Amino acid sequence: MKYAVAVKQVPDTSEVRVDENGSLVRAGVPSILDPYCEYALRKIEGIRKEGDEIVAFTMGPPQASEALRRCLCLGADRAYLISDPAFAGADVWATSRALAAFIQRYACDSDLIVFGARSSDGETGQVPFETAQLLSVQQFVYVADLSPEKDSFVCRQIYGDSERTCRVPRGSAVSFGGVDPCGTLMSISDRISGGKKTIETLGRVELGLGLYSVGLKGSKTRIVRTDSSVIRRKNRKAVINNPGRAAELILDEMGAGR
Amino acid sequence: MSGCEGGSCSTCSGDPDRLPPGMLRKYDLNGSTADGILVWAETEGEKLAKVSAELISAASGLSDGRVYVALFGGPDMKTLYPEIFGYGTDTIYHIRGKGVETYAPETYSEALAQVAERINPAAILIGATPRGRETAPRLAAMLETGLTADCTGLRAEGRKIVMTRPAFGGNLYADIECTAFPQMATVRRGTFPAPEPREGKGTAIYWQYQGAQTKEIISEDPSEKDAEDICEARVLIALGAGIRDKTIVELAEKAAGSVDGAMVCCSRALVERGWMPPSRQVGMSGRTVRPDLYIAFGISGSVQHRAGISGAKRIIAVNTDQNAPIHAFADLSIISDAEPVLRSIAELL
Amino acid sequence: MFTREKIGRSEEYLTDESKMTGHASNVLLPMTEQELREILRVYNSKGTPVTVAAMRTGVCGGSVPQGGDVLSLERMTGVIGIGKDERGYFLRAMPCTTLKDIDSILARRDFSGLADITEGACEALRNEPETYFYPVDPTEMGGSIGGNIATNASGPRTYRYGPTRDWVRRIRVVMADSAFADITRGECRAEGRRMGFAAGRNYYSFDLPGYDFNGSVKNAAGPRISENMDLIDLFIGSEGIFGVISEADIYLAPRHPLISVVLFFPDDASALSAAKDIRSDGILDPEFLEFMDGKSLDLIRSLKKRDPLSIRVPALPEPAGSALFFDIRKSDADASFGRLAEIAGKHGASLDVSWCGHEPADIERMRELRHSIPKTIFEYVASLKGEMPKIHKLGSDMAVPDAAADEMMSFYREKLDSAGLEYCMFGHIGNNHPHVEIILKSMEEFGKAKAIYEEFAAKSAELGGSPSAEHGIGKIKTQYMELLYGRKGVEELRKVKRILDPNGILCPGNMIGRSHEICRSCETGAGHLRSQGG
Repeated sequence: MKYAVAVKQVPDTSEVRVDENGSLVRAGVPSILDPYCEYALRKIEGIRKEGDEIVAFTMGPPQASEALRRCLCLGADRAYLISDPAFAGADVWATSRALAAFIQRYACDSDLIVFGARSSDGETGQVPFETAQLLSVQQFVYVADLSPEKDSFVCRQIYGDSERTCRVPRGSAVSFGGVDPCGTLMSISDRISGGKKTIETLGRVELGLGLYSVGLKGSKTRIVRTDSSVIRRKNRKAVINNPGRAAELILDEMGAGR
Repeated sequence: MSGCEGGSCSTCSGDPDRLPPGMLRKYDLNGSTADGILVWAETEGEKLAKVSAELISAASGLSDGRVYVALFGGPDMKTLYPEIFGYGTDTIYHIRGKGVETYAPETYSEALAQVAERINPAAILIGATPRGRETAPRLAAMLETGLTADCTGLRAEGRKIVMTRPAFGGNLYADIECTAFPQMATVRRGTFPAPEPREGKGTAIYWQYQGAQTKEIISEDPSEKDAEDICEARVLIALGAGIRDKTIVELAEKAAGSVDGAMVCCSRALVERGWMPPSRQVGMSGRTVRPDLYIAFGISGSVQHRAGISGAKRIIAVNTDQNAPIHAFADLSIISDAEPVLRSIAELL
Repeated sequence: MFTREKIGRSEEYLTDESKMTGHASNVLLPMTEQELREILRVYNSKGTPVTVAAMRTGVCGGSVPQGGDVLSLERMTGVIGIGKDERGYFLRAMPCTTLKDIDSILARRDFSGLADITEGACEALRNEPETYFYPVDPTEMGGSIGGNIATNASGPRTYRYGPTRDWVRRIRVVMADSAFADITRGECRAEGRRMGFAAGRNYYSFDLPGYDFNGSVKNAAGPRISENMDLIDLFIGSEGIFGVISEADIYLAPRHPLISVVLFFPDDASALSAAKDIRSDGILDPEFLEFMDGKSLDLIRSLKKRDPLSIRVPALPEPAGSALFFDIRKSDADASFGRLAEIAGKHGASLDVSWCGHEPADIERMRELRHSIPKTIFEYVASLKGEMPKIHKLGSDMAVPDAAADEMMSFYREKLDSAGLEYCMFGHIGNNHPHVEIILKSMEEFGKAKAIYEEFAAKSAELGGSPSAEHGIGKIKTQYMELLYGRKGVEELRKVKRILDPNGILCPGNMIGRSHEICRSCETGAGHLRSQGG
């Protein structure tokens, strides 16, 4: 089997600070491999058999190769960095188009295209499904378990109000629904072997995409305005050392709302 | 422009505002004729999903275009017609066919795309439910249009829709426009007020979907659903990453049990720890809530979380960290360790 | 003018991380050095003692008041500016600035609003290719810089960088009579054992104690007394008994990108011998070297079993009998990995079952793993308090010279095994300074354990080490001062104290016990007390 795993580099949200105005401070925040993607990669690593191949790929700036390096250390065999200045500002549509173009050209023989549930940087995980549609393959979302069978896979999906078990034909796109809060720690051996593998960088031309198909120019949505103002409420601060007093205060408030 | 020299006749003159003789207005002949709003009325069992009701009602007030509703399901769904019409539409496309008997994102999105091609709406609105979030991008890709996911606000400027959502990467809210028609958005529950149900009348059109079901579903079991919905609660006791002791969760549940209309909800951290079910999560990747009182215990207040509570009437934050962003957002900040405060509340109750 | 508040029922100011509880009537909250001096002037004239407190993160009760009032510096906080001298960059801060704040300012390179103490220093530091940091890492980042200096704090990175003392450039000290002294390292030295310095209108001149401070091991037992010592060293590690630090300059160092490593070994012995190899290795040059024995790993396992999310690390590999935790520089990672493979192979470990963290998040999680051990024991002991209110955590804090490391280790094991006590061992093996924590089950065991600890302390002193390597003396470990320096040494320190703080108002009870009660027996002191009484 051959697996293509899409990953993303995100700022470490546990490190994100907010300034007095409520805006995120991103300077000095380290970038990490998105924990959701890492979880998906580990799931695939868990079902891989002798002779299987895992290809990790990401679209992002040149620094995103660090996220790919981590994938290589965690078990991916090859990695592709889809990076081009022209890709900047891509929305869901333009991103999906670039990923679909990559899969068609470089990973069309993949038996499974794997995504993380969502990326922890606030995007809501639309890319896997647009990509699936562009490739005309089936999609399986909120996947909890995945097991390979003879010529296909079986997955269990959790929809909130129901659980569904489906057969996953080869070539489908799946997105895992979880994250491992304890995370992964690689071994030194993993690190050494991951360090030896190569990361190939692909640009717009290699993917055969026109200038107006990618990045901001190829996007179908446009940010017209950003509003940095926080809705300010009439804030009253109380430093209360005695938990009992704080509790009384809160109970008063609860009563007042009645 | 045959044979005339530049500037010699009015048609080719340099003045762009000058119209040819006899022409009263300039028409943009390449412009889209798209108009109206299509809403997918998602159903939960026999009932209409609450977010769909909100959307239909909001769509009818959003612009002066028509509102169309797409509904999947068998003949038993007819009982929903009066309610749907009552929310402010006069046309329901009732999509039926072998391929859409059970939900699958592939066939549902294809069927919706067919309806959209027929009516050519200016916008398509879908609830940001698990199924909506999965189907909308597929539909957007089919229609080659843009999609704004998880909107927390919508407003219309003519037939143009401006969608608001919390943006990552710095500043808080971004207004987003779609550069193609139909403009698509998934909208979170609670973005618009829930409408009062009333009966209405209109036209229902059967739409036969010809495609076949491609998905091989081995089994499907309804999973246990939280009996109560945090969106309905009057008072929400919200727990965040600052809660380090698992027993506090039970304590909070007990406290909520003794206050009328109170429920416990949480931030993403506790769902990831597995201490609370995802149905209790508030924020960007959870629910949007509008309680009378929201009490945040040990929640730092990320943008993602705040997006889910901006509709709360009153917010109290309990957090030891003076600089936690939640404090700037709360009506009352209590700088104190959340756990002992919760313990005392449980005792006092 | 200064703020004074009644303490009342709030116990916050009466305790620290030692969980020892004291008593005091008021808390004094100066905002500026001016107010601090005013407070000391008033209190000195009344003869009312004050106990200096900042973030109260000490573990030996140094900031726990024993009567009088609490002088909390919590409002004297903030980084003042940045400067540069021949040694390198330094940072000037108010005494209650926490290490966390200092760290975050340096990490973010956000120097807006900071003063240039030497011309253009802020700009120059901002443009440095490497990020700078304050390298002394006493684990507790919530502690204040003033408290760190007063206790000469150290931690895992002392292995590479030494204790706080090595990083202090200058301090301002307010003396008991409210005069202040500006002390820069290298500017005022003793002549032999005779020290003299001016503060305000006073000139202090006195004999230093006759003992030599043991600086060859990690040691937090009092100030570094030696011949021709620097004046600044009299205040560093003096736990507030000589004066109150009102401002400090600390040196900064460039931060090297590091990789944290955990190597797992089959048993304790192989981990300990591997630790020796790592220390003597020329290529591996860790900033810290920490040991976790089999019992500690079992503790983590049982904790993860109860609540898998309590520590954010994957399950520990089975079977791992002990572990070493250290770091290597990213720049020479390849060479280091090669050396590690050899060392691991020699001691039954493997690079396949190891953890390595490159990214800050991973490094932080591994750090969490190490710190979960004392935290767990602390919580366990706290849970016993209901049944046994007198019980408290018993953790050893003894460092010995390299040559005596093995002897000390086997002494620990022999004593504890023969007493039938359950214990775990972890900590700063790089400084021959493991923490031995006894997992107590009953009051009877508590009694036994206490006696054994006294033996450990005596043994470490006998082997040329320190019975208080990093926790300090405070009010809990005052008996070790006598153990190390004899009655005479302590009495000599008390004499210094009586010169610098004649009314005995500063931090009574710290380090040298109650200097002025004992001084009834000595003439000058008695006379002095009588005059005060009159």
